[in-house]
Amino acid sequence: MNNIIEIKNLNKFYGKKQALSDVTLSIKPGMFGLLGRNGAGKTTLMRTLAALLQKKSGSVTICGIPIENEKEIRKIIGYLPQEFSMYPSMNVMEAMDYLALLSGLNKQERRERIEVLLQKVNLTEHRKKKIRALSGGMKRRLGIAQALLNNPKVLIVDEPTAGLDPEERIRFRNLLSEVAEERIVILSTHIVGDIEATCENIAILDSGKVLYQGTVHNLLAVADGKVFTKTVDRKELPTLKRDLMITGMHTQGRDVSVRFLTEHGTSNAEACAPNIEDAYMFYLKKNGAELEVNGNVILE
Amino acid sequence: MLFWSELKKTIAGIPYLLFVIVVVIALNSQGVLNFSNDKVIEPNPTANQNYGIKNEEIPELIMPAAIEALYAEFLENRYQTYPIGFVKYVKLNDDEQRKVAEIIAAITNIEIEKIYASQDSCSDRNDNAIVVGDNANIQPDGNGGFVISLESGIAEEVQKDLELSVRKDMSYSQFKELMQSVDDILGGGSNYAAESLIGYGHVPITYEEAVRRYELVKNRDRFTGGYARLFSDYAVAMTFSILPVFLAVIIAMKDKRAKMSELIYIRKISSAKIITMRFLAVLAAAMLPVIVLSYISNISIWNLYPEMKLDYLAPLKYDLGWILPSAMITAAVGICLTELTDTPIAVAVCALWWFIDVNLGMKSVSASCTLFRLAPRHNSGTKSYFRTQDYIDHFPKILANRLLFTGLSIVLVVGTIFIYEAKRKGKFLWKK
Ligand SMILES: Nc1ncnc2c1ncn2[C@@H]1O[C@H](COP(=O)(O)OP(=O)(O)O)[C@@H](O)[C@H]1O
Ligand SMILES: [Mg+2]
Repeated sequence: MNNIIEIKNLNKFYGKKQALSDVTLSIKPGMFGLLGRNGAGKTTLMRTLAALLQKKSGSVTICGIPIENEKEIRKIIGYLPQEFSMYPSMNVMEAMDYLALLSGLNKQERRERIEVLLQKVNLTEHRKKKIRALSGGMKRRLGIAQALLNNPKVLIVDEPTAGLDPEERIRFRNLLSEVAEERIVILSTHIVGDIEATCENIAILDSGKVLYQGTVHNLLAVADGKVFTKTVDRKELPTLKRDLMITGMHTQGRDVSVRFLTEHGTSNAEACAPNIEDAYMFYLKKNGAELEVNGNVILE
Repeated sequence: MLFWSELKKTIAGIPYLLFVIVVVIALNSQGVLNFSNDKVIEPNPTANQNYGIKNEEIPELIMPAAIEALYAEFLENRYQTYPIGFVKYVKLNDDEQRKVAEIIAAITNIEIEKIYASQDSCSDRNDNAIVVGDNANIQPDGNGGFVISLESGIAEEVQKDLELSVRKDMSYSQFKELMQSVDDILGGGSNYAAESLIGYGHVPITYEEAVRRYELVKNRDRFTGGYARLFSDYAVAMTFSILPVFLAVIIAMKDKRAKMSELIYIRKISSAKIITMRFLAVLAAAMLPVIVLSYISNISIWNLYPEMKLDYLAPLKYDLGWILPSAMITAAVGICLTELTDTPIAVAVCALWWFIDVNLGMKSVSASCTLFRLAPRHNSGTKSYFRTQDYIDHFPKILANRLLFTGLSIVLVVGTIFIYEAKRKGKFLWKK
């Protein structure tokens, strides 16, 4: 049994709408980032991997198990849906215990495992708190804990950082990195910063297609020499916006420092090193994705 | 283990509390929680006891009573029938009325024209009855219709004029045939059907019969059985043919409402196990209060029969044999339709089914425990706990009914397992 996820020519439709087209990916142990705008197909891909959706065509194997073998897949997968909750009247312990029961853990295993996991996600002191009383951040952490109950070989987390405050977000990324030491963790996000901080390997998904797959390093290399900054008067901004692909702006009094992308070099601008946002934008643009960029990168 | 978790989920919370309260109120309203005033009395030849009446196929009794009843309905042209169990009042057209008149004539030897004419004057009168008001007494008949009785009028006079008596040379089999043809004209289900005529044969129960009856109560039912049966009859008709559906729908909706479905779908557990455990949890939760109540009810008579051998397990036997299949079918419909549609539609379906079934009513004890009755009735009103022989006679029918619904609910649960597994794999996505 190998330890990789192989996805080949995966196609998925919702009625007539194609949500995934010819997705081919190979995912190795460690953190894998799936980057894409809302509606790109991230959730669809992840639910397909979790055997929660039927594909139209293509093949998927997870650690050597074909996705059609749901029974075996369920044993090795942990999944944190984008949107979820638990029975509101149960407390943290009860909810974890119920889910652990469904994962087939015996009483002894449940007690030990739940304790370790609650510790890990820092919820031990909230173990008696009702689900309905949990904050967004606590609920996410509980979500990770429940996904790890069966000690899965593959952990799939769908936009886990959405709605978290910056501090919680950082804590959460660190938690995931820790977890990823011993398994495949697939993280989807539309927030570039999440990927930058945690993932070595990534894929960019847009309109159901894989635009890029590889390391963060290589992604940056592609945008190398195509990112510039220049300081202009505020009045020039509208023309600039029309002509250039702006990925960042800084206002200083009347002047604006603009960061932009261009394939052909440019005069009176200073070249600078690309970051993932730049590279991501570059990729989307190159593939004809319609972007509306206004100062900061908006991927929504 | 999972069973206990599911049971806890079902029992915790307001809905279950309401369930218990409704069950208690419903059964209490039927007076089946306390039978301490309903002692079965041992027949005593010296005391002047009235042992009640029974029906027997005695032509000399049945023929005059039946023809009189038929003539009365003929005059009003309003015949009571139970074609599919619903009470239905049939109004015949002229042709058909004439045929009925012919039959009455054939049986009584009165000229058909005379009979037919008496109906004419009466129906004229009837048409005006509501307008006339003074002479008419209109009362709800309890079936959503109205009974109009004429306090004084031609109908009665005519009836007096026509002294009906069955021809001397009329044999009972001939009579039965003629009456059956009336039933055919009425579309079936009337009191004149060959097998229903016995209803007109009222005879008092003799001492010897009363003794036999008592011996059955004593030796077969060991006293407690009859009471447990009456309790079960009401428990099934009033509560368990509908209420468990709520518990089933709630447990089946719970995951989705809590946005927890995917967390559960992804688990290792088999669909068979999760659905079966939930079904069993609903059954246990539903049966728990009724078992307690059946004992509360039954215990109320335990000291009425000192020095007698009572069957202390009778309530439990009837709970499991009679009430449980009802809980099973309603819970199964609930869990199945909820998983299928993700809506509480099952509540409406069960409510409708129950409503129709209860309205099928209880024309007679033997007609009310047929194979397809959701709530088979076996209740002959007062002193039902006397009717051990009836129960012995009808037992195969009731058993078949209960087995049918048990089997059906198992089929539904198995179906639900397949539905659930398909949903887990995202095969029902079109609904989104
Ligand atoms: N159940 C569904 N039925 C129909 N269309 C859907 C459904 N789920 C998602 N889609 C569509 O498929 C596309 C991909 O959605 P999704 O996988 O949720 O994207 P992401 O998670 O990247 O935001 C979107 O255009 C979305 O509208
Ligand atoms: Mg999504």
